[in-house]
Amino acid sequence: MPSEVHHRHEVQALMDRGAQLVEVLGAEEFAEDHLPGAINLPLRKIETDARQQLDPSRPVVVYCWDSA
Amino acid sequence: MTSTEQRPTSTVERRICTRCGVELECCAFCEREECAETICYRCLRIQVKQSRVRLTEGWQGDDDSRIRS
Amino acid sequence: MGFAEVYDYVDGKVDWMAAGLPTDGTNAERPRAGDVASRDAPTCRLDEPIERVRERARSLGWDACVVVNDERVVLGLLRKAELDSQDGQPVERVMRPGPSTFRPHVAIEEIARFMVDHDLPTSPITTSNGRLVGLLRREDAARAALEHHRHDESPEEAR
Repeated sequence: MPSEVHHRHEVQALMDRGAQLVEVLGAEEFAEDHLPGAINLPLRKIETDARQQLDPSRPVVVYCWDSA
Repeated sequence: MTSTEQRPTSTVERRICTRCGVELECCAFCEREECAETICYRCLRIQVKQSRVRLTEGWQGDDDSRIRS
Repeated sequence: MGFAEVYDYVDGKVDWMAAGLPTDGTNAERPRAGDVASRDAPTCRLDEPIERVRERARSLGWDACVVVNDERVVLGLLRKAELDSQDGQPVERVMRPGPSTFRPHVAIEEIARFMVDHDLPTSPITTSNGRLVGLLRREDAARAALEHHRHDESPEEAR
């Protein structure tokens, strides 16, 4: 289970440590706005594509629209 | 609601969101009771891509009280 | 899946954008509500007499005033009808409490469309914790949306 982070400062600290940002929304949503440097892995593809696109030795931060 | 039933239109007596049909007291955008484009808080936030305001933030003026499910 | 450290940014990109942090994507270059809202809109306190606030707002060329506390958290809104209230009343008694507010990151075209469709003359723009960023005027929102639309179209016209 992933650990939760609630504050953008925590996200920025993780980014400073080389974290990989992953947006799990659809492609259209991602194309409009995404965190700088984030890649798009929609939820339905995350299990199949994560290992190909992400470095397992670096932290990973997943996010979507909001907490709703 | 079945396909044979007609979605009720927004009237003074029964105001509904023109997007999702939920009943409400007034339009969440302009706060007027008689608005031809009546929209509920939730649909408005989705449309302009804002999250629901969380009470823990202590924001004053949460519009949720206007929504009736 | 074999990843040592995985975190869930629970509050998501809306939290990021609401803080005014930069994003990438097609919307990144679009004007947003926070860019267009007037930072010098008049503000007032709950206990001020309405006639004093009316005079101040109109002398500044506004037919609206935002009611804020000491921390600039929005408590209410005075539009024309409220500003025209009978003298001798405190702002708190005549204001519109808890107005709908919008975050700085909302695309100006979205807000402009709503403001025109709903005939709303002004709308407060606030941070995610309710602090006033500025007051957005319908005409400013519509103009910014139109200018951006023309800017988008100009490469086509140049061909």
